[in-house]
Amino acid sequence: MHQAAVKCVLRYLKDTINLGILYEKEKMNYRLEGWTDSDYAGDLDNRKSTPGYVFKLGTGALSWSSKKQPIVTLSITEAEFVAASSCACQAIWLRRILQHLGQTQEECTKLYCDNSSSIKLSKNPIMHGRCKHIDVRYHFLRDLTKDGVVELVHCNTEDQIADIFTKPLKLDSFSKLRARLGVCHFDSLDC
Amino acid sequence: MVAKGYAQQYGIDYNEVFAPVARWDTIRSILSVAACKNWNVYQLDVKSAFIHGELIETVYIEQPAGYQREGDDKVYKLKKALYGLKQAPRAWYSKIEAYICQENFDKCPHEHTLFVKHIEGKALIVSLYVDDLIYTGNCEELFEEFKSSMKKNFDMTDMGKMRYFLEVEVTQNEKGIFIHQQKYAREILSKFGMEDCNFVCNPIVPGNKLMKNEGGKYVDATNFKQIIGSLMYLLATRPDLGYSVCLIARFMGKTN
Repeated sequence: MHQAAVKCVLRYLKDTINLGILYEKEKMNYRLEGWTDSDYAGDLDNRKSTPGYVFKLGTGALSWSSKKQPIVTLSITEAEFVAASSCACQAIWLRRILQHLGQTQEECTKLYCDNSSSIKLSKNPIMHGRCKHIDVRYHFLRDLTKDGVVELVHCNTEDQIADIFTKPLKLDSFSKLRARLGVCHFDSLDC
Repeated sequence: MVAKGYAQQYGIDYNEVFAPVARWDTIRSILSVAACKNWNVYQLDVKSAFIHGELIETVYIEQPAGYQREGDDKVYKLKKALYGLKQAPRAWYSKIEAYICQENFDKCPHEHTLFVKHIEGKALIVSLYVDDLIYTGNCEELFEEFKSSMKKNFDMTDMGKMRYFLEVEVTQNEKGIFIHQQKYAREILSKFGMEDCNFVCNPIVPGNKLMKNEGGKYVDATNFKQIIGSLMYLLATRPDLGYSVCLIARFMGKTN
């Protein structure tokens, strides 16, 4: 079963051997943007979720992750919220690196998320019976939002680039999101 | 010549061996900033980097075969590191770090291999990966100054524009900066006998859920691990493979 999955990846690689990331010379868009998403309880063995995030500066993806969550979460909102807080940690680090590279991010970094309850949770101090155990992360993300470091912004599911890091997608959405990561063919360079 | 590092004992011949290397996130950030600002990225290579490192510990080596002084059962005391020594990478890193800091670079506290210099709007950015280093910025004078001072102190090869860095191929032109690993990908395919396979358009079947299969037949785990390891490195320029490779990697211990 696993062997077949590996072969599938190698077969895909064979088809797409000349793909890479293109960082286009940019107009004015120097802003760092992030996308965060999570599936829910996708791992059938222990019911942990797989969050993913991706950051872009201009056209090309510069940082991404797809990693099983270390904890079991009780709801989609919680899974997305935990994902958003780890995404925020990376956002802080990237902002510092970019600052050193002379590309200071004056405005807060937008993190796109397709789960509106997570966004509400990051902005509003509502303590709800079902989320009181998310305490620490909740305060961490809320502080960052308050200080204007990051901001969770809602986006439609089809614009959610980080989807590609959380579950196996159908071919058309896979190709669409792949292009939005800045991944393209070597040939598209000369023209 | 290589020292027998395996004979070294912790606490006697070496202490700390950790040496930081640049993260891919950082390298990609540099490339993407350089693309945004229309800068070129250049590359330098240090020849036999590790022998520049200075040792803090006292280490002795036997006289190398073929170079013994006759009738002499003496040993050599090392002043500088040799390839093979456990602390060689760390000694090299300390050396180059001290050198770069002395050149008035700012070391980034959040990434120990990133050094920047900002003088009145002029910028020079240097990132270090053991003996390979890349630099970019907006001032030719600073480049020349940096290059000549590096050449004076270390034995350097000037690689010109960044083209091939850690198995990643880089193309810089009017459109921007393109990074890919075509050569490496081809090597993987031929190494695992898949160069003539049929191809598919999706790295993973939609809706495919992998799980532990306790009852199944076990397969050659070593081969499986080798493939995963090779594919992992491909993720440096292939975010589209991120999910599928990381998913399979979870089952490395229990493949079937």
